[in-house]
Amino acid sequence: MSRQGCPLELERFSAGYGNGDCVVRDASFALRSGCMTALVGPNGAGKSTLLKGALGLLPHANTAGVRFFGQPLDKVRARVAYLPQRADIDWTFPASALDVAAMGLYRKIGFFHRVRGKWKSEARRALAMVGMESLDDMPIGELSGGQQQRVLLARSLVQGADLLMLDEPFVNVDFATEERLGAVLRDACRSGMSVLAVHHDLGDVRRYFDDAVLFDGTVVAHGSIDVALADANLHEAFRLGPPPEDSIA
Amino acid sequence: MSVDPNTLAIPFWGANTIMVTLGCAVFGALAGSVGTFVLARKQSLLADVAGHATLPGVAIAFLLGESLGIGGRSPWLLFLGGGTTALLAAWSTPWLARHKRLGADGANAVALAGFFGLGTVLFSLVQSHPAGAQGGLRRLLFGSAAAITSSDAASLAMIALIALAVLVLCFKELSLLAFDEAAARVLGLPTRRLDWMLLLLLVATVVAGMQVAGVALVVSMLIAPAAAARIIGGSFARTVTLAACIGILCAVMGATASRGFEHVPTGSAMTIAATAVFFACIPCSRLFRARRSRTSTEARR
Repeated sequence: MSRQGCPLELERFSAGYGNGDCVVRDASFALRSGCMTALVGPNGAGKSTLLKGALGLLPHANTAGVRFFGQPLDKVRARVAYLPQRADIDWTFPASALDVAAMGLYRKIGFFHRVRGKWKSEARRALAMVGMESLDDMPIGELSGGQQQRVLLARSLVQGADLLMLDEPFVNVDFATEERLGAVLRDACRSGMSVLAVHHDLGDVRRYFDDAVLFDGTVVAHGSIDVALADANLHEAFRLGPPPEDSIA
Repeated sequence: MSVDPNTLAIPFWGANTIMVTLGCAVFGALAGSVGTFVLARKQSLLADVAGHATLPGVAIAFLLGESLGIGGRSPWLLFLGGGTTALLAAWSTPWLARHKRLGADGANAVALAGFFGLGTVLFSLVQSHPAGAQGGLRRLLFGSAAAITSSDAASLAMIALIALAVLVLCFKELSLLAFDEAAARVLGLPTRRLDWMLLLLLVATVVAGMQVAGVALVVSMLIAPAAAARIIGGSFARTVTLAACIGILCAVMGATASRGFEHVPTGSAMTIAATAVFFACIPCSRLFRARRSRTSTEARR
């Protein structure tokens, strides 16, 4: 994998909220292209902070060591999409599912231009990919949690990005929705997209992801699921004390 | 309170009245549409602060105009004065909330009381000025459509039309900013400039409405029509359009009522109309929701 093609590379990346504490310290890793990578770790480890900091959403982040496709984010914004936590969104906002999906196209449409029929069709296609085509006119506040998450995913997909960064995409969704979202992301990866998703459930991480970054304020381990989530690494990240001797062997 | 049948007939015949009513209608459209964004950005109280903060600016502009001999009652001078202090308040309040650990609630209260207090002190100076008492500036508190001239109405309509044009041109960018600022930043939209643009639109609305709705009640015309449209639901464009229509309806109703009923301030009449429409929309929203639910069930089949 050439470094130019590396979707995301962090080198000694640090980020925090400006109160003196550094939530993310000296994080370094590089994502494999075309793979689904899970960012896992204990609660409060700084997984969401890492995502937001790398995307320039925090005022106190050292983004000098952050490279997207070998370049600073500003040069490749069209190639990067972000899906925030569902709790970060005001779902009482007066918009339809189609409005939200079309928001992913705003950069392509450009300033001063309206969202015309061609763009609406593209947004409808993205909604169809996540099984939401019949609810495109529905206000987002009247959708279920899983449907809202699917609309957000449609907004990210319609952008046509090469790297999708998701913050807890499977939280508070039912099993069927989780399966559907997982399948859509898998298909996207098969067509060349790379995915980095904050994930909290170690039990099903193997079902959806190829690689993992085990994180606890800094990178504890990174690589294929088996390597990154080895018992010794999990014990270190979740501070469970030393693993039983037979598991080390 | 007496009703004068002659004045009730005026709104439909006098050229000045038609001009004033049109000015009020354009202001109502602007207030409803800008209010939808303001409400979505959770800046309703900031709008109230900006409204009250026009008072010291208007008083300073009046006193300055009189002392320079250019006349203190010029609408553009008053707009400039009111707009400057409203902008200062709209900028400094979020700054106070961020940097002084007050939170939005405390910062809004401090700024509103401070600017309005200063305004009332300066207004007492205006009233003691020989031209001040005749200037009719006291009516700015609760608005008076009957007291404004065609030229005032034309000025406010011009401000409102320019602001509406900006809103239409940047509609989708402002809507993404209001819905999900993080996504707007990742997409590379100039969120800081858009935020400033929304503040300027808010200030333009407040300034356009201070003569008809009054500085104390202009916030009601920003928020009540937007809230009414929001509970009906639908797409964002539909919500903004509906809020603008409700704004027009309430502004015209308020202007007409204050002409018909002596001593009723236009701002108060507009506020009552807007609040009544808001409550009328609550049962309507249930009907719309039930219809949408039926449609989606049929679509899923």
